[in-house]
Parts: sequence; C-alpha cells; structure tokens
Amino acid sequence: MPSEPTAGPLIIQSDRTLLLDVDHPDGAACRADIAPFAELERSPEHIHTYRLTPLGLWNASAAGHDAEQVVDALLRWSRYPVPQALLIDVADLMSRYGRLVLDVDPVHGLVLRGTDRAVLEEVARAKAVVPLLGPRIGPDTFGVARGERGRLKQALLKVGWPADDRAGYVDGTAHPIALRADAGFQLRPYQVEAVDAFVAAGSGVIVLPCGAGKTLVGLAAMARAGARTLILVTNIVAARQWQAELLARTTLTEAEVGEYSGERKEIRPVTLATYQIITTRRGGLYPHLELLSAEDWGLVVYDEVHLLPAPVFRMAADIQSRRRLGLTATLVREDGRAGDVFSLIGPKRYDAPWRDIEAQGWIAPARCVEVRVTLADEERMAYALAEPEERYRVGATARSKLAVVEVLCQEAVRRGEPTLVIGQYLDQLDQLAERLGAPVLNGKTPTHEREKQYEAFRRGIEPVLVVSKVANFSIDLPEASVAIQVSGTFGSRQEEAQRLGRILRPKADGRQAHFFTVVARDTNDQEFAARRQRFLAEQGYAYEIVDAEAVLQSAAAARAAAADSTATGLAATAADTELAAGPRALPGARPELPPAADDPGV
Amino acid sequence: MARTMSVRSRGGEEHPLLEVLRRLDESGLAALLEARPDLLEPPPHTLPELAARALAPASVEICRHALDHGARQVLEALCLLPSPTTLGALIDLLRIDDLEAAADLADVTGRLCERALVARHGDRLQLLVRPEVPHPAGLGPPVRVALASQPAAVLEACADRLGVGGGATKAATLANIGKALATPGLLIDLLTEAPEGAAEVAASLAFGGPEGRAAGALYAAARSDHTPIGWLLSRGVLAPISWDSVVLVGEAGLALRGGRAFPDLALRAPEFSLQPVDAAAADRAAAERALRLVADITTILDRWAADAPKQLKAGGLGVQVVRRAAKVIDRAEVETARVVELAVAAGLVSIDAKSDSALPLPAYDQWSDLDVAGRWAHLVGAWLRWDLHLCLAGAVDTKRKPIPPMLVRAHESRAVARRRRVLETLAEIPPGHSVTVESLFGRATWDRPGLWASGLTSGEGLVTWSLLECELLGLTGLGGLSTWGRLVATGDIEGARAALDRLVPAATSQFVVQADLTALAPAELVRPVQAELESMADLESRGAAVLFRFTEASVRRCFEAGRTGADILAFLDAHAAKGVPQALRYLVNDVARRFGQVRVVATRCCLRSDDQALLAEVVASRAAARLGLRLLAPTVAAASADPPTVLAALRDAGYAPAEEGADGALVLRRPPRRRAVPDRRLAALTGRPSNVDAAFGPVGDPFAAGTAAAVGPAAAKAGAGPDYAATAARLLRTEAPAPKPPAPKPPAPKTPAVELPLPASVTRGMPPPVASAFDLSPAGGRPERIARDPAAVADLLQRALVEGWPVRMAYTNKKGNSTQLNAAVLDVGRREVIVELLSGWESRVLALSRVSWVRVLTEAEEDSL
Repeated sequence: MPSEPTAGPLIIQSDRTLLLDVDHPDGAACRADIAPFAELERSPEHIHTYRLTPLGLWNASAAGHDAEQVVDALLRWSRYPVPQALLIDVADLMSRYGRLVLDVDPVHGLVLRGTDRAVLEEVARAKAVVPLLGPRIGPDTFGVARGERGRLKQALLKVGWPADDRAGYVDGTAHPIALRADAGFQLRPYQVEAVDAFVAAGSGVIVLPCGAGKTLVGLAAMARAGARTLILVTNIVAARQWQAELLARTTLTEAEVGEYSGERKEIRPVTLATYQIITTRRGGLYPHLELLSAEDWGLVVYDEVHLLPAPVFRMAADIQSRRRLGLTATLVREDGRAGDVFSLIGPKRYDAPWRDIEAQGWIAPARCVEVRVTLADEERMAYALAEPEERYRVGATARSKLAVVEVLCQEAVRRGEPTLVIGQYLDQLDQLAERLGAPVLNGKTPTHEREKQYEAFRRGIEPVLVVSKVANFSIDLPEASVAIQVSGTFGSRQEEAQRLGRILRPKADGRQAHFFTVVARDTNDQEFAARRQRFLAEQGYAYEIVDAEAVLQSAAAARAAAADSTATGLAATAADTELAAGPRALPGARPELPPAADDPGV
Repeated sequence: MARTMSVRSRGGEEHPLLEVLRRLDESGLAALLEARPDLLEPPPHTLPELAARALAPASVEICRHALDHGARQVLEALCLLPSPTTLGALIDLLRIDDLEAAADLADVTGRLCERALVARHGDRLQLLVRPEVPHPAGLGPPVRVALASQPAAVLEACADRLGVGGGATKAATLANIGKALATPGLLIDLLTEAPEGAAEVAASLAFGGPEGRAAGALYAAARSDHTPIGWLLSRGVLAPISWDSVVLVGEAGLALRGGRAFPDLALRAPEFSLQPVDAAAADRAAAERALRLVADITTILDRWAADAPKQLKAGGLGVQVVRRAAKVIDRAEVETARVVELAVAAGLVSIDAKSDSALPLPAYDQWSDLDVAGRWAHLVGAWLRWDLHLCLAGAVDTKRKPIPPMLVRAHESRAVARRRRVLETLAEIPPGHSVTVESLFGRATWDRPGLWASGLTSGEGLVTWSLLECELLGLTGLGGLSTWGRLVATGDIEGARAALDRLVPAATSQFVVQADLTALAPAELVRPVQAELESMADLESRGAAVLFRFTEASVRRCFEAGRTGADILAFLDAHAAKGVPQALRYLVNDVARRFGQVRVVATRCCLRSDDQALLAEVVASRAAARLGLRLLAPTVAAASADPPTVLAALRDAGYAPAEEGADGALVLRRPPRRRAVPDRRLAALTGRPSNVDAAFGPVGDPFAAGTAAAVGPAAAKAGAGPDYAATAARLLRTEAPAPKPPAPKPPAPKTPAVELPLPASVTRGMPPPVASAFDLSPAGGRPERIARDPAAVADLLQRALVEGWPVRMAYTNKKGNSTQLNAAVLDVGRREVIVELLSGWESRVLALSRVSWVRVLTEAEEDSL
C-alpha cells in the first residue's frame, strides 16, 4: 500500500472526479479496481478522468460490489489524502441500493419490501411514489400492481432509493435458437463475459464500442434465452443487417425471422422492429407498440439503447417481467435520460473500454485527421453574408472542399482502401458523387438499391461510396477502411463516434483505418468539428490537423512523380501528407477485394 | 518594613499572606507569579506591594476564575469552615473516605497554596483571602447570619417548633436553632410532617442554589404553617432576604445533602473515553482538510475579485452569496460561512468602503505568494488571535435567522481562551486516539469551569464550536489532534507549518497537456506558472490536482494580454511534461492568425473622398492637426473632433465639405433660426387644437401646431371663439351668488371648448361674445370659490394655469395623509396636475382625483408668501 504522498496513480478531486495517470506503473491495476464503480468520462492519452456518480455507484452495487471495496480502492490508489466527506458519501449512496427490494410474494404477488423501515416510510410518502404503491401488506411490505413495476422503479430512482429488482422474469414462449457451429467463428472472450454477465442478471445493458461485435453478443444472448425474441433496432437497414446475421450465424431459418416495419408486418418467433414503426402514432395510440407488447416475448433486445425514444421507454416500463438486453457503445444520452435506461432496461452489466479492445486487436486502430480547407474569397463572402441559420450549411458545403475530397479519394483508391464519403447535405453529396464517379446513397434510395450498392462496395466493385446520414447507424461495411466526413449534424458528438465506428471493424490484413474530417477554416464548421471531436478526443483518439494546401500540393507532386515510378511516388505522397498508415504504406492498388470475409466482429 | 496598610490587620499585625510570601523561596515565588500573571502588571517592587495586589478582590477573582473545578470546590469548602482550620475538618466536610481521594485533596490544596490563596502548616489550613463568592458550595449563610435580623420572639417560636427551645440570649437561641438544623436526620424527619411541597422546595434549594423567590415571603412568615414556604420559614429552614426572596440556611442545606458539602465532588479531572485511531490516517485526513481550506479560500476570493458581492443593508453577506460560494467549493453553507469568516479573521478580505462589496485586501496577494503550508500557518495564527467565534457565522440567531458572515459583531473576549483551552485539552489526549465531544467537554469544563459558563450558546455548544474550528483548519483529523495540531497547541506555529509542509505535495512547474485541450497539473503549480497558465486557459476544477481547459476564447484572452503565439507555445513547451499536442498548437496558431485582423479605431467622425489627392491634401493641411485627422485608407481619414467642428474647420480652410448621413445621402442643414423655447404654462393653453383652429381660422396651416405654441397667448388675446364663452361664463358666475355645478364637457368637437364650468345653454345657444381681451387679464379678479368636486377642481386648476394664479389645495397622498399646499400650476392633464410648490420651489405631479379641494389664493395671500 503506497504511503508516500507521491506514490498512487489516482488523484481524487473534491468535485468527485478521479484522475487516473495511465502511464503510472500501477495505472492498469488501479483502472481495474475503479472501473466497476466509476464512470469513465474522458480517456485522452495520459490522464483519464472518471467520475463518481450515484448511477455509477448503484451500477456497482447491482453488480455485487460493496462500499467497503470502493472506499478501499480509493484509499489504496489515491496519491493524496482522500476527502473524508467523499468517502462518507460513497458509503451512503451505495448503501441506498438494495434497501428496497422488488420481490415476488407467494401470496400477494409482486411486492416492495424494505429492509430499512425508515426508508420505506420515506418513499411511501414521496409524492411520485404513492400512486404506484398498492395496499400495505405488512410493516415492511407494500403490494405492487404488476403493471407498475417499471414505473415504480423509475420513481424510486428519482427519489434516490433505487430498488433491487429480484422479481424475476417470465420465460416467454420457448423457441430454440442456437449459434451455428459451422459458421466459422467463435465468440471473443469479452463477448462471452458480456453474455455471461447478462444472463446472470436477467436484464441490463452491455456497453461495447462500435465495431466490437455487439450484434453477436445479442445473438448469443438469444441463444441462451431460447425464447421468442423481439429485437428493436434504429432503422430498416439495421433490421436487414440483423436479419442477415441471424440467418448466417444462428440456426434460425427465414420462416422464423420476421420483419415488422413500414414495408412488412410479420410477427414471427424472432421479430425485428424499428423504433420508427413502434413509435408511429395513430389517433393518440401506438397501435404497433401495443400489438407487439401483447406478444409473449422471452427476450427483448434494444439495439443502440442510447437512442431509445421516449414511447419505447413507456413500453419497456410495461414489460418489466420480460428479459431485456440493451446494447450500446455509450451510455451518454444527449437527452440526459440515463436514469431511465438504468431503471427500465437495467443496470450496466458489462463495459469494455474502447482502447482496451483496440489494444487486443479486436477493432482496427484508427487515425483521425482533420483537414482544414481555406475557402476561396467568394465563398468567404458568401459565408459572411449568409443568414445565421444558413451559415453552417454554407460553410460545410463550400465547393473548395470538393477538390480535397477528390484528392483524398484518389489516394485511398490508389492504395486500395474502400472509402466512404459521408455528408449531411444532399446537394453536396450529389456534387461529390458526380465528381468522384461514385454512387450516392441517401434516405430516398430504395432499400433494395441500397443493399445492392452495399454489396457492390463489399465486393470492391465500387471502391467509393457517397452516403448521407443513413450510414450513421448499424450498417455493416466490413472492409471500409477510410471515411471522409464532409459535413455533419452540427456538433453531434454521438454522430462523430458512430461515423468513426463505420471503419473500426478489424481489417483482414490488420491495417489501420483512416478517418478524415474536411473542415472549412474560419467558419463555424470548424467550431462544430471541434465540438464533435471532443468525445473522441476524450476517448483517446487524437486528431491530427492537416492543411488542405499540403494535401493538394503533395498530391500534385505525387502525380508528377508517378510518371517516373508509381511506388516511390506513393511513398513520397504518404510521407508528405501524413496519410501513411505508420510504416506499412500499401503500394499500388489492390486488384479486387475478396468477398466479405466472415468476421466475428459483426 | 510594611508600607502598605492593607496588608496589616486592624491591630497592626501583618497579614498572614505577607508572612507566607516572605517564607517562599525563589522558585515558589516564581510559581506564584506564573500561576497569577496579573500580579506582574506592572511588576511590583516589594513583597508587601505584591501581597497587597494578591489580596485585591479583582486579582483574587481572576485567580479563582482560572482554577479548575476541584480547586474551586475545595476553596469554597474552606470558605464554609472557620479559618484557620484543620485538614481533618476539611476531609470531614467533603466526606472524603478513601486514600486516593485524600491524595487528590492534597494535590488540590497544593495548587491553592501555590496561588497564595491558602496557607498550610502541617495539618493546619488557613484561608489567606476570602473570595467573594455569594454562596460557597451553593449553601446559604449560616443561621447566625441569616436569621440575625429576626425579632427574638420569632426566633424563640422558631426554636420551639424545632423542639430545642430558646436560649437565654438571642445569640443562644440562634445557636440552638443552628445546632438543631445541623443535627443529622432531624430536618428530614421534620419534613415528613410538613405541608405538601415543602420537602421539594427545600430539596431544590439545597441542590440547585440556596436562593429562591417566593411572593411575599415576609408575610408568609407571619402566617401559619399551612403553606410550604410559611412552614419552612417558621422553622428557620428558610430565611427571608428581601420582600420576595428567601434563602435556605447553610445548616439546613448541608443537612439535606447528608452532611456532604459537594454531592458532586470532583477533585480529579475526568478521564477521557479514548478510542484508538490510526495516527497516520488522522494526519492524512487533517492534511486534506488543511489544504482544502487554503484552496477554498483562494477559490472564493478569486471569484469575488472578479465579481464582488454586495453586502446586505444590515451588514454581512446575504444567503444567496453564501449559497453560491458553497456551491463552488462544494461545502455546506454553514461551513462556507465559517470559511469566509476565517478569511476575514486572517485579514484577506473585507468590505470595500467605496463599492460596499466584499473584495480581497492587498494582504491577499502577499498571502497568495506564500507556499501552501505558509498560507495555512497564517490562517492558524490569525485564528488563534481572533476574538470572535467563527461558528457564529452561519448559526441561527434568536429570531431563527441565519447570522451572515462578514457581519461586524461584538467581540467576545473569551473566544480566544476557549479555543486555546480546547486545543490544550486535545493535546492532553495521547497521540493515536480520539475522544467524543461529551468527553472533551467534561474535561474542558473541569479544567476551566469559568470559560464555558456564560456564552452565546451552551457550554457544550461552545466546545463544539471550537472543535469545529479546529477541524476546519485541519488541526484535527478523525477526531484526534494531528501532528501539527499538537504543535499549534504548544504555540509552535512555525513547527506546525513545517510538519504540515512535509505532507503537502511539492508544488510543481510541470503539467500534462492532452489532446482534448486540457492541461492537468498533478499537484499545485508554482505561482508564476499557475498565473501564466491561468492567463491562457480556463480553470475547470481545483483540488489536489488542477485542471485547465484551453478554448479559443481563453487563448485570445492571452493575446489580448500582450502575449504572442510564440510566447504561448514556448511557455507550453517548457512546462508541458508530455509534449504539446498538435491540436493545441493549431488552436494557438489559429488564434494568432486571426488576432487583430479587424481593428477598431476610436474616432468622432471620419472623412471620405473619392479624390485621393484631395484627401491627402486635407490630412496634410494645418487644420488637420487641430482636428486629429489621419488617413485610415487612401479614401478614408479619421478625425478626433466632432462633425460640426470638422465641417466648420474645413470650410474655414477653404474646402467644401458636406455631411453624409447614415444612409449615405448628404445631410443638408439650413442655418437655424433662433426662436424662444415656449413657456410651459402658455403652451398648455395654446397647445389645444381647438384653440389653434380658433386662432387661425379654418385654413389648416402645417406650422400651426409649432407656431401656436409661440404665439398662443397673443392669439388668444386677439379674440377668438372660446373666449367669448369664457367671458360669458365669468359674467354668469358673477351674477350668481353661489357657484353652479359644473356642466358636462361640451361633446361637439366643433365647439370651441375651454373646459370651464359653463351652463350648457351658454356654449350651445349663444353667439360668441365679441370682446375677450380683458377676459384673460388679471384685472378680472380672482374667484374666491372653493372647488370640491373633481370637474370643478380641474376647471379651476385650468383657469389658475391660464391666469397664472397661485392656488391652495388639499391633497391626499396614496397613504391617505392629507396635506394642504400652496402652489403654482404648471400643467393640467386629464388625470394629473403638475404644480410647483411655492414653499421650496419643487414641482410635484398630483393625481387630480386626490385633490380634495382647491381655491385660488388671494393677492394678499400671494404677497404674504
């Protein structure tokens, strides 16, 4: 135990942030100790910031950690004396979880039991809780109507006394599902751990970075549940993706997998539904939501749980007796409803930091580059004169960007990197598509056309794909290794992370992925870009900044040199523009990519 | 030898104290002076002088106040005994029956002897000076004193009732009564026959102080045995001391206590109830508190320096201010109030007289230059001397309102002594242990009962306050004194500083800059580095480590402070332990590139010309120097003079400048024609459109409104429509003895309407009279009537306005107070009237509806004003 004041790797601030020096020899051990209860806020290169929050501590309580362990870990690793008040607070907060228990009584059904009568009395008087409690059964017990299970948990969390839900789950209609042994893949160790953690708890959220194979965790969980399953996904493309995965990797047949969307309304043992369809309202009702809720599901999977819309929360509150699995890359919700995820979907059951998985080689290492384009004078004038609400569009869609994007694409194609060009504005995308001679996909593209293009891209027939924000979520483009972002939804940090996730699937040859953001200098495009990058910078992705002039010049130089020798010219380009993927720059274009390899990261 | 009378008794022999002093050796004398330091002020020259001083009641009182509980009890017990007495008598009185207690008694008497309050010769004890204690040991005066003023017959009756009978003399009777009451068991037996309540009264006086109030005690004494007080009085148990108070006689009190002078005799200090704590952990906890305190004061004062909070009208800082500060430093509000109070005590912050708000004092900068332990030591030093309880700030006063910090409060002379006593008591706890507040309070009160007896809160509250202060300063940790706390208790603040310094992480000049544009210093930064970093980044969180964030705004701020991009990067390169990330370099270079691209120039006006040569000539001309002309661009020059001056100067110089408006068009100004500013009273009359119509006929003149103001009176006098009506009205009124009720205002817009009380028939039916000029002349005489109803009031005021008559009116203000005032009318509106008071010349706007009556002052009255 370190006793010298300068020994520990952890600095505990009085505002409840924990600063972890990752370069410290004890850094890794300390991280392992504090990760279960502290929420990772930022993980840049040297010092990671964790925060002690009530939700984080309750997550730890739910996972079986006790206050003594937490206090002990803080005291053991802290470099400086730990504020006494903070320790007392931690102990106090953690002891709150579990003093109220939702349980099943053989006689009275669902009951709320208090191990501490004072607490029970307190919550029984809270305005938000009273209407959800049934008759008092004993001094320490209240009856609870089955339908109020979720809402009661929500209300209890709000008043600061989260209930431990031990009321168990119904198994739903059994339906055997198994992972196919012949599909040529194996679950990665962390995926197995995640599934085990989920199955042990019955419901909860698994946090894995984009590209770490969340879908597969979902499939494995379904196999373990062996029951009718409802999978809620963000959009129809993601639904098709899931469907393909289900058919490829499990024993399910097409007849067993249904799609419930705007196009088709199939309810089968495994049903995929989009958030959009179940939140469709007709006459003040959610007809689809009610229809689906009525089924006897044994498991409900929520893909991208951080995007869960409010009506789905309501449904989740109604089906508390079903097992629920939330999958996400981040628990950061931009609407601040993290508490609802905790009480309605369940506590966090498993969490693997992005960088750890990358270090283990499960996701591709990525390099992020911000390319700054200086606008032409007339563009600057147009920007200066634009209406305030139009400014971002004017800056982000500046024509000066096109040349840079073109050069980057050419370079990528020459090196055989499948490339995605992602943007927000359709005009801009059309211009780009025309200039690059690449197909463009947007929200209006019919689904079959979209899938055709994806397939062509997967096979390497189309080296470049220009996509709108339809590509933000849940499409699977295994071999995309370069993404060029030309515009985005203002400062959305989440979108940035999702887009980076597009290229993080591990590559067959282990090469590095590149993420370029093309930004117009001295416009609010640059400000929004900085805001978008903050999340990734906090996650440890350092953005390099490159001037567009440098890119264009070196490309010109490369073209000149290419006349002499292709290989040396490329090397020069790589060196000049810092496009090189470390030491192994790939010379020459690859003839054609092999068909999508079976990658366990899907 | 003896020069001072006071050390001689009446018989001329020396006071025994002098004798005692003479016998003391040097160390004994030194011990006396140490125990009673007040004897040294000023230093006495001779022993008799010293003895005289030691006998002075004030000095004895000071000495008694500083005694511990045991010594006080023994001293009071000695007061009950005749002097000199024997140790045996004392032991008997205190009912000491074991050897240990006897040894304690010897210690206590030793302490009394050392202070020259008692002399001891073998077994003999002599009280050298009798302290002025009203009731030693809480027992009343003996019978011989208490009942001395009673008539002999009463005493004899009393003795009879006690069953002892009177003596031959009054003194003998008193002695009999005393002996009877002192007889063990007798009183208790008697009380069984007493009326209900008597036993309780006697017991409460025996144990809770001998004096009690009883209405009409003397009358009760004269009456029979039926009341409890009467019964007790008639047996000499109680003695009357005033018309409504009684005292329990000493013998009775002692008997009721079972012959034991002190039921709660405590000759030895109570033991602490100790709990072991880890001394190292206690030190760490205390260090954390000490460092946090320093950081919190810095945080609060830095914020206040930027945004100084106003003090309340009644003094002190408001709840809101404290709440905001509490949020920033993450402490409870009560605690924050103490932190602020401590900063005041340390002379770091005060109320700025000019702005009436709390600002750091210049001493704050010197304090900030110290190292952390030094800053802490300064706080501790100030705290030890501060004669106010910090904890009073944030506490609740008698009206249940919180007492604000920074309030000027009455000093409490004992605050310092209380603080030191608690510290010293804590220092008596063996290291590695903690005690409860109760235990500490028990010990502290035994040591100095006098300190805690009277204060702003209970004794236990005062001890708790002092303990909280120790905790706030990091003198204690986990309930025990820290290493430096122990040193502070011995007065070694410098040593304490050094001890704390060993636990303070050394200040560093290195920080880590990361790609998310944060800079993190793992410990406190050395002062210049911190200041420089603060100039270019925003402080995000402060604690053991300090976190800064770079933003475009923060970097620009640094440029504004005169740094260049190269300066900033050089500074970062020198101090960033793990290199400067590229993103930050770009940020700095970006700001550097854009900084100052747009320049703001202060000018009064500028010159513009498409003819570059002409403009160059103008700027080079002699006039240019006076106008502060300089070229901003070939076609633009700035001037520091205002447009009219520039125009005039350029015209004088022979140029032909023209003024350009904001819309780019030329502004053409004709030379202004000078006209009078219209008089308000006249304007009020002529401003009415109907008058204008009347004056200028039906032909609309666009200047009518403007000119009417100037020519109005003349126009009116020239004889226009309304004046006929007015004249007619006046004529009618002079006919009628009493004023008629005012008519409703004529509704027809065409009718020339001066709103005077006219009978409707006059305005409507009659042709306008011809002459009107005299109507407005003052010769017309002033009306004498008093207008009371609202319309009449308005009309009369209107007339007074037109005529310029002063008026007297009664006005009821919004609070319902009615006043009468003399005033000149300045304007009459629809709802209010503007008047100028004749006394004092101030103008008022009065609501017409509140004017209860008005009349015009007579000329005589006006002259007399």
